[in-house]
Amino acid sequence: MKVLVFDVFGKYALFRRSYTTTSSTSYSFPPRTAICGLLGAILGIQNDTTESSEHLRTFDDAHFAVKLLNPIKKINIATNYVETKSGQKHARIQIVLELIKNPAYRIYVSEFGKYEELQYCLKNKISVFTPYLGQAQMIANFSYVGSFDAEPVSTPLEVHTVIKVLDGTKIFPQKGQLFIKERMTLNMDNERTPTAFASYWVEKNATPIKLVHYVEQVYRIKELGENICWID
Amino acid sequence: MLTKVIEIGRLMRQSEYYRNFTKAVKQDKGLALLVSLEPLEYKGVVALETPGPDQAHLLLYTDQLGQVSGKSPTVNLTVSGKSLEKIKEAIEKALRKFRRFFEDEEVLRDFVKLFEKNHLQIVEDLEKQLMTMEEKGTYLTIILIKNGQEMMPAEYEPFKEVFIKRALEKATSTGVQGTCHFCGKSRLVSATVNEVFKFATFDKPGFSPSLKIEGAVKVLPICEECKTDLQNGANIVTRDLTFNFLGRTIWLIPSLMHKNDSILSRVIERVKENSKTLKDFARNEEEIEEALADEDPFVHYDFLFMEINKNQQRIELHLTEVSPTRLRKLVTERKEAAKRIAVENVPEPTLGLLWDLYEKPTSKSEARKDYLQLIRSIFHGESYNLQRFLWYCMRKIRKAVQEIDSKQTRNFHWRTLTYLSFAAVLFLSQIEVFHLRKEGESVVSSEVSEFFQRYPEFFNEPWKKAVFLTGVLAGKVLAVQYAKRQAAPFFNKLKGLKMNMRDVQGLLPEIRNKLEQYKSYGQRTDLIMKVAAEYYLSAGEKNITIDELNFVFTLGLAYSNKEPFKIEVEEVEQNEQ
Repeated sequence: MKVLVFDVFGKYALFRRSYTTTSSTSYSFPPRTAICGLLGAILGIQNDTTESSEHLRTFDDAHFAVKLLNPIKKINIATNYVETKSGQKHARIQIVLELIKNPAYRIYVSEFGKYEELQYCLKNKISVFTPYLGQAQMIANFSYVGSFDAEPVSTPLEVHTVIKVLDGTKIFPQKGQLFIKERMTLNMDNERTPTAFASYWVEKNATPIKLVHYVEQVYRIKELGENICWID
Repeated sequence: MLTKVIEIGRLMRQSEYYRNFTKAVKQDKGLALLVSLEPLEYKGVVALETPGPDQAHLLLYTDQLGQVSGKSPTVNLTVSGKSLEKIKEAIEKALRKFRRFFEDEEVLRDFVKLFEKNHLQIVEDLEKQLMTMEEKGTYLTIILIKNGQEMMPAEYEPFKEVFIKRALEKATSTGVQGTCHFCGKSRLVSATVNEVFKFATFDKPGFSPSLKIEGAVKVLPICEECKTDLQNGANIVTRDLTFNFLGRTIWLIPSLMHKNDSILSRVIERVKENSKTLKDFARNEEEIEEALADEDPFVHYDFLFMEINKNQQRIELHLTEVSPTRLRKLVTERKEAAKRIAVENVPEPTLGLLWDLYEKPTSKSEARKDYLQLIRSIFHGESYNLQRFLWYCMRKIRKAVQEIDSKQTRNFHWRTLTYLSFAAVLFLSQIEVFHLRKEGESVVSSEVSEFFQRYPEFFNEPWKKAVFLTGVLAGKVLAVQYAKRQAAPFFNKLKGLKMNMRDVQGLLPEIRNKLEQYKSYGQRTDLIMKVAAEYYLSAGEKNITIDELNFVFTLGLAYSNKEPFKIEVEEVEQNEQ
């Protein structure tokens, strides 16, 4: 199986947990929908209206994996938003945002309809729309790593990406590792209604996770010396 | 975090369904309308002692802040003054809220008629009761009499049914077919998490896709079953897994890496026990952390630092997956740091004392953000800026020094604050929040350098040792001055502890002059002076912040009356002779 690999990074990221509205806290890594949005921006896929999420259909046959390149460091930053409640012209409201500092992720994309097109964009650092990490003001940079062959491998082994929690998934924590479990939206329909959710294990310090048992296929990218699990 | 609360709710499911939605009233005493059922008749108002925690559900109470929702037959009755007018106003408000529960329900229609018919009498009876009541806040409920037996609201089946119906009303009326965020099953889902946790607000267009409130269900769809478990879990968290923390609240949510109900139940019970007995996290941090640390390594804790005001909940800080191993480390390293500074009666650098060092920052201040960041670093082992930390320490120490001048002694003495700050630096370094590099000894070993070897991570550069020793010597001058003149004018030379390196170096000849003037320049002082000079020579040019420099200097001042620098009275006296 061919896998396209690229790194995405920036100064800050905020992938807001959907249940935190007045106080924004962030997931530790981009959900699948955010990755689709990022790739959509690079490829220039447009939705007709803001209520539509048809761009996701482009990636329905793609699998993704995400690796943390930097340990997760979160900071709180007070941000002034426009206050819309009072209707006063220059009124502002201060919201505390939990941001990820120096976020850097390696994204793996399996073959899909626009694989070559995406490869061309990544290789030549072309992005039709501005890519960002969760929020429009957190602009992202990206660098192309390559297109590699991924071979199926079996557990137990060390996995370098986040791991989707499935029935019977067993990980073995090592000394100094800190695991965070995140539950996030996996996919949406064309009207932005979520259709699937998933939980993931992510190691905060960006070290590989020892996976003892996993019901789905794990792949190895030999050239990079990395084992990956799809997040979908 | 919500998934973990649901898991707690699922595990501790109530024997009777309605109990998932009931909460305990906060007031000790209440008032109840006495109503006989056969025939339906108003019998008056009675005062009521609030049932204990195990019986609290009998009142069918739930929060109804901010809106008159008619969710419960038990409502708050808060009187803001003692005047008859204020009492009447409060009664009318409470009765309106109370009646809402009975309205629009066929089965309770007769109750509405009864309340309307007896309205004036009820108001009068409540007035009488309230006039004699000491408490400002109370609640109003209903007690039914059937066959001579008194029944609490939950003991009357129609009330229970309406209570459940109202609890799920919004979920049912606004529900659409979709996938539940939590169980992943395709069911009737709604955007009703905000009914459980106020920090999740979906009633503002800004939080909904395309700025349309009706799209809120797409943000966080939840099914009825998960919502019931979430509500039950939230009740358990807010009632049993809550600690006070410096005027705020900490919610402590345990979870397991691998599902194991028996371990999770045990951990919940343990946290519950601790929250009941120890309550204040800042005061009893060590005991609480110790109790939590004594757990299976697969147990994790989420700490939510909450700011709760009436119907507002704001997450100030969310610490996810804190392991018992980390908590154990915090306890042991904190003790170790306090021991290492070798000064008696100095408290351990707990979160409460660090808050004090940061000058008790309120939610609006910039210091609050820094303080919360420090807490995050402590629990997660993330790095924190040492210079920032020392800035806060020095701000507090400088104020304490000024307070001595102005004879105010409300807070810690500057010396205690310095020891505490030093203990905090050692503690934070030991738990990998500060990354202080240990460096080898570069100057020939002497008597005083043994002291530095006790703290190799802190005294890792020659300039620190030199400045520290200058502080020690300055401390000697101050001590001698105080002993002879009951005043310490040399303090004025320290520029309010805002000296730069040149100022500190310039102190050495002045110290020597002063000590010679007071005939207190002995062999020991000479040795320290020489060692300090030696360290200065090997220090070279360094870019040092004013706060760090003055902190090291103040530390020297503080240690000047401790071993191995303690002033030897004999030496002074001998020299005087």
